[in-house]
Amino acid sequence: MAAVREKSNHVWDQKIYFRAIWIGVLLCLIVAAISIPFLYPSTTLWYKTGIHRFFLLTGKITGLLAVTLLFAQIVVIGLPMPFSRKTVTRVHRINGTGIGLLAVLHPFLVLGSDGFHFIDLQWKYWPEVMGMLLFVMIGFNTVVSLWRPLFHISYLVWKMIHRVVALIVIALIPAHVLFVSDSFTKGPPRFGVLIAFGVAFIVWALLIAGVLPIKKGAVNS
Amino acid sequence: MNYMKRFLLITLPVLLLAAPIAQGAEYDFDRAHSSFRFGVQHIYSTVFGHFDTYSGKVMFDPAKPADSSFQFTVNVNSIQTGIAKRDKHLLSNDFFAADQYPEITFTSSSVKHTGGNNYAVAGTLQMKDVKKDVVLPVIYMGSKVHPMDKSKKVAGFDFKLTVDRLAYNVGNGKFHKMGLVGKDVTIFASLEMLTGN
Repeated sequence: MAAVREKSNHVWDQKIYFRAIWIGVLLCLIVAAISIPFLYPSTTLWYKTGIHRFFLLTGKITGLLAVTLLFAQIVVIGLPMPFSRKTVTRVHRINGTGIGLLAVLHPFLVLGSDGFHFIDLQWKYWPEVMGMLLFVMIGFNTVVSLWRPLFHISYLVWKMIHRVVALIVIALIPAHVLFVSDSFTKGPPRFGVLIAFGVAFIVWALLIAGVLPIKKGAVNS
Repeated sequence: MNYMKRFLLITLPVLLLAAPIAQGAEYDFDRAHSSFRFGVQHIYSTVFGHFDTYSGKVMFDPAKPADSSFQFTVNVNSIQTGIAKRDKHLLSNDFFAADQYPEITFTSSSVKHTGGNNYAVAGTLQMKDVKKDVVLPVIYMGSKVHPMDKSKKVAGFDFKLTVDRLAYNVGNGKFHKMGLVGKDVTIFASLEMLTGN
């Protein structure tokens, strides 16, 4: 009896360690991401002062936080987690809502740093235009997922749309991040983004290929 | 009398064909061979840029400069400095506020011959909400029948003008005080203009 209890305690301890590691890794990623505008400031930031600098800085932080949470969203679904299905589902939903909110805040703050000056639709501004598209897609996925019954969309249709839109977002977001700011032209920020989204793609591909089982609670409820 | 008729029949068409060359003409931009460029100091170097879109008309007769006129409109949103981020910044409220002031205009009030191929084109330059009287030192490069299209006449004009951007509210001076962006902007225009566009 004591041996069984000891084994059970050992498994419980292991679970706690794994959870601590996962949470620790996620926190490290978040800290690393939001430190980029401070450690590798873009030249745009040089020319911002006062409230406009605050807007741009917070705009960049919200964008990077959204990207990190998006990466976590894929990894949480795909990789084995020391958490219950219920917890993973809850985290996926909360995380998704957070990404949606950050996706709204990001363009608002960035535009605020320029006094809400809207650019002309010209080819040279394609990274910003891509950002607008991403904003629409993330907003769509968040709103439809939160209020699916209001839109009279069946579960199966929603699931398909949700995954396709998510895949397009994951495919486009590295291009937006890498080209919209000169913080990502070289060095750790550039490699960080490339590695993170390389991992996200591999996880996604393994999920589609059936190598990794999709956590039913996470995406099917 | 017959001799007179023959003379007129031969000489009149020649005179009529030659008329546009000799007289003043109304010109439009040959945009493929014209440019409005500018240069502004950034710390130590000079950053150059240009505007892609502009329009206007020139009425010019080198023999009668008083009857000549120059009118240009430059689309601020067409600014190009080679870096999209910088263009976006220049269009923002920090500089041109292009949402509110999408055009730079120049309208001449008088044209005077100042010797050789040089003309002083006085007029009003408007940037943002500021209008100022300026004199463009225009060099008339010449005019002739276009070598590739005999139905058109081509004329060339060059000028260089330095303006204080802060006098036109293009920036509030903070970048100038920081020692980043100069306040004097040199505008270089090289215009090839055509009749009958």
